[in-house]
Amino acid sequence: MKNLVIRNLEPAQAWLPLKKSDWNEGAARHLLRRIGFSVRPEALKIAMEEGLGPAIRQAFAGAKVMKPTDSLQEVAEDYRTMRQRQEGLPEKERRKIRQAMNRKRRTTMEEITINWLKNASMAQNSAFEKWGLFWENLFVVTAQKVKNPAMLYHYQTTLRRYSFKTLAELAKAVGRNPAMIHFLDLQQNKKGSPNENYARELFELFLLGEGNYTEKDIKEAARAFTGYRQVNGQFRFIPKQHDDGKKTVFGKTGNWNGDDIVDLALQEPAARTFIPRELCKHYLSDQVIPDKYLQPLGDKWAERNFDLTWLASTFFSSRLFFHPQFRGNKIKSPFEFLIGLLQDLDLDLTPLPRRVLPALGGMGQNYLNPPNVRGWVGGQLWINSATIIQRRLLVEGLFNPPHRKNLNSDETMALEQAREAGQGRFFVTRRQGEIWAGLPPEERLDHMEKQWLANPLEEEERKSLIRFLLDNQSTPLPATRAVAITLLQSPQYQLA
Amino acid sequence: MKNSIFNFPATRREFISASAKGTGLLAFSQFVPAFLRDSVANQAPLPEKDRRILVLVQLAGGNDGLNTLIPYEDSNYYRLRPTLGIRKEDALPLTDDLGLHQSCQGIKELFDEGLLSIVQNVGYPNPNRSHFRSMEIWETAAESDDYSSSGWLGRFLDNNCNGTPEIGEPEAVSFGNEIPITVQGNQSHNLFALNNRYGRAAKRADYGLLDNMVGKSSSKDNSNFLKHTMMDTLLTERRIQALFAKFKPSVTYPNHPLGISMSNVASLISAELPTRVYFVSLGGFDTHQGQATRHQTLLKTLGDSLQAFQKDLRSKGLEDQVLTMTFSEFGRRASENKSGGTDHGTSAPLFVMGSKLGDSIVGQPPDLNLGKNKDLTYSTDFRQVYATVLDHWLDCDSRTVLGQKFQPLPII
Repeated sequence: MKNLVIRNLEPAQAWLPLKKSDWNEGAARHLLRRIGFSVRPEALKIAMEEGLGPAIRQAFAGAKVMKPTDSLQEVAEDYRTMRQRQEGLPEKERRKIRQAMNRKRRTTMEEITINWLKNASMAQNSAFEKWGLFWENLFVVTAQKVKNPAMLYHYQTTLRRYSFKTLAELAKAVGRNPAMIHFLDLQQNKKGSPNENYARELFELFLLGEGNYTEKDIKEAARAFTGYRQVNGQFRFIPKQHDDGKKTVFGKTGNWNGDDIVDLALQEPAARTFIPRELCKHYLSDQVIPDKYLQPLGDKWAERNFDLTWLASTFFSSRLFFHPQFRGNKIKSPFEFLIGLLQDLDLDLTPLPRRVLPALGGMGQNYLNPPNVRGWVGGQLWINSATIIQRRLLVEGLFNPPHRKNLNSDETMALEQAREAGQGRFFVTRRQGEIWAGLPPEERLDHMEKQWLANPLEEEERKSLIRFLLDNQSTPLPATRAVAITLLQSPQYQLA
Repeated sequence: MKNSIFNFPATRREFISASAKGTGLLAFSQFVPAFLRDSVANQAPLPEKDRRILVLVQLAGGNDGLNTLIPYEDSNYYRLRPTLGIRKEDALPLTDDLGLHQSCQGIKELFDEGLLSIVQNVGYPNPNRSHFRSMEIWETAAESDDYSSSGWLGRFLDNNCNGTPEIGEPEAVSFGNEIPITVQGNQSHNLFALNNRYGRAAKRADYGLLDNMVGKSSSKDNSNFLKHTMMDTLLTERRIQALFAKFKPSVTYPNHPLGISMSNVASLISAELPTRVYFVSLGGFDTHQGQATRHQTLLKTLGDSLQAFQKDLRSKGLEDQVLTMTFSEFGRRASENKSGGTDHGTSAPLFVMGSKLGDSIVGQPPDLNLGKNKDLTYSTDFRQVYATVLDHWLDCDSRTVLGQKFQPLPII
C-alpha cells in the first residue's frame, strides 16, 4: 500500500470542525454522498440553508432499528423446537424437517434483506443504516455459519442499539450476543479446553489489529471468555464452564472475565487508532490514513471514554472528512450502489426478491453474509468484469419492468399489495423519461450529471453524449433513456 | 438508435485503431487513451500455441493435511487424533505408510495413473495462524514478517515472460467475486474475474454509448481504474460468452461451484484463450468443529472436480499444456480439539496435477512426536514449490519473482 500523503492539512488541525468558509455546495454534496447514499435535492437544500451541524443531525434523524417480521418469530420458534421435533423419527423424516427448515430459513433471510434495503433506502434512515453497515462489517458474523435468521436479526439490531454508546459497551454486547457466540465458537469455549477463535478475532479484527497482541494474550483471553454460551438464541453464562483462575493478558494478571478483557484491550494504545482507521476506510478512502492523523483523534476519543456519538459527530464535521483529496474517489459498495440508485431515481425497492437478491450476490455482497470474518475488504476489490456486468444489469432492470406474463402469482400479488400500500414506483416510467426529454440536450445532460455523478464528466465524454442526443432528436424519449442508462452504468457513477 | 453492439471492435487494438482513424464508434471522441497508447507501445510477443498454463486451486480456510494424507503407521497420529483420526483400513493406501482420506477416490486414481504428485509437509518459517495473514503470505510469497502487496503470480505477470498474452487478452482469469492477490502484480494487468452466474450478462446493454465513457483518463485514480476495468470487460465478455456456450465437456463435472468453475476453465483453455493463469477456489476448510463430515464432503468435491478436469483435458489433447496445483493458507493443529474439529495449524501437503510430473511423493513427512497442542514443523518451504513451477513450468526465472533462489523439487 502506498503511503498516503494528505496535502495542506496538519494532523493537529485534521479533526477540528470544518471552517465556515469551506462549507459550500460541493462540501454539502460530499457530506450527503458519504454519510448516506445519494444527494437528494431536499437534503441538499436543508444542508445549504442550515449548515453542517444541522445537516448531520438531519441525516441521523431516523435512528431506529428495523422492525421484526412475523415469520421471524415463527422461524425462531421452529429453531427452538427443531431438535425436539426430530426426536425418535427415522432419518428420512428428520431430513424432511431439516429441508423444510432450510427453506424457511432462506425465505426469512430474503425477507430480512428486502426489509433492510427498504428501510435503508428511506431518506431518514440512510445515515443510520450506513453507520450500521460499518459495524456489521467490523464485528462480522456470517449467515453462512449463523443459520438462524432470528439470531442474525437480533445481532443486527444489537449492533445498532449500541452503536452510539461507548465502544466498551458495544464490544461487550457483541461478546454476549448469541449470533457471535455461535459464529466464533464461544459455544465450544470451556474451562480446560478453551477455543481461541473469539479471543483471536476480538484482538485481530475487532479492537486492536494484527501485531498488537501476543499468542499468549489470546490463549489467556480465551480462558476469560469460557462459559459464554447461547441457549436457544439467549445469552447464558455457565459458571461451571468458566475458568475462574488467574489470567495474564497484556501483562496484567487477574481473574478476568470477558468484559474485563474488553476493558484491558481498550487500555492498549492500538485501540485508540484501530476503529478510527476502519471508520476512515468505510467513509473516506481505501487508502489507509496515516497514524499521525489517527492518533490525535484516538487520544481525544479515549479521553471521552470511547464515546461513539462523540466519534461520529467529530468525524463527520472534521476538516479531514471534507479534504478535497477524499472527494469523488470512493468506490461504492454494492449496497451503496443499489440504494443510491433507488434514491437517485426516486424509486421504491421492487417487492420481487428475484430481481434484487441474485443481483446483490452477483455484485459480491449478500446481506449479513460476507465471505469470512474479515468482512468485505471493498474498494477496488468490488470491481471486476463480473461485478461490473452485474451493476450494469441492475441499472437495465430498473429501466425495464418485467413483463406481466413472466411474473408468477406470488409476484403479481406482491406488486399489487405494494401498490396498495402506496409504493408504486418500482421502475423508471415513460413519464419520467418525458420529463427529462422535454429539456434541451445540454440541460438534459447537466441535470442528470449534476445529481448523479460525484465528479464532472470529461469534456470528451460530455460531447459524445450531447452529440448522441442531437443525432437522435427525432426520438428524444429513447435517446434520453439511453443516455440516462449510460450515465448510471458508467465508471463515473461507481464513485461517491 | 445509431450506435449498436454489432460494429463494436473485437480486440483492444481494433478499438484503438478505430478511434485513431476517426471511424467506428469512437468517431466523435478522437483521442487515444493514454493507458492504451502506452501498452500498445510495449507490444508483447505473440502467443504461442503450446503455451503452458497453470491452474491454482485454493482450499480456503486451512485444509487439514493430517486427515488428507494419512500417516497410518505412525502411532502418534492416532494419539493426537483419537476421534478424528482416519483408520488404516478406511484410508486409500498410497505407500506402506501413507494413505489418502477415504473420500479422495478421485485423487487416488489420479495418483495411480501418475497424473498427481503430493508434496508433503509444506509451510514456511515463523508460521502465522491468522487466516488472512497466512493466506497473504502464501499469495504474496513473502517472509512471514515481511509485507508485500503483490502476488507471486502477479509478479510473474510483471516479468512479461515468454508466452505473455497479447495486449487486451486476459492475463489471468479467476472464478469468484474477487480478484485474488496472487495474480495482482506491481503493474496493472488485464485480470478477469468471472462468477458462475456469468453468461446471461449484458445481453441488452447499450455498449455504444458506454464506450465513450471509458477512454478518457481522469485525475482520480479510482476513476481510471474503473474505466480501465470496464473497457476490458466490454471487450472480453462477448468472446467469453460465446466460448462457454459453445463448450462441450467430454466428461460430467460435479454439479458444484468448483466443478462448474473447473469446467469453465477447461472451456477457455480448449478455446485457446492465451491466458496462462487460472485461479479457482473451494471454501469451507476452516473446520473448528464437526470436521469429520464436512472435511469428507470437501475432499470428495475436490477430488472429483480435479479428476473430471484432467480427464476432460486429456480427451481434448490438452493435458500436456496444463499444470494444476492446490494450496491452502495453513494446515491444522496436530491435536484435535474438543469440538470434533481442529484449530489453525501450520504445514500441510499440497497436490500437483498434470501429465508431465516427476516424483509422485516429494518431501519429508511431518514429525508427529509432539506434545499436546504443538504444531507441525514444515519440511518443504512453499516457495520451493513456487520456484519449481516458475522455473520448470512457466519458464520464468524464479529469482525475479521470489527475490532469492529456492531449492527446486523433483515434481515436474
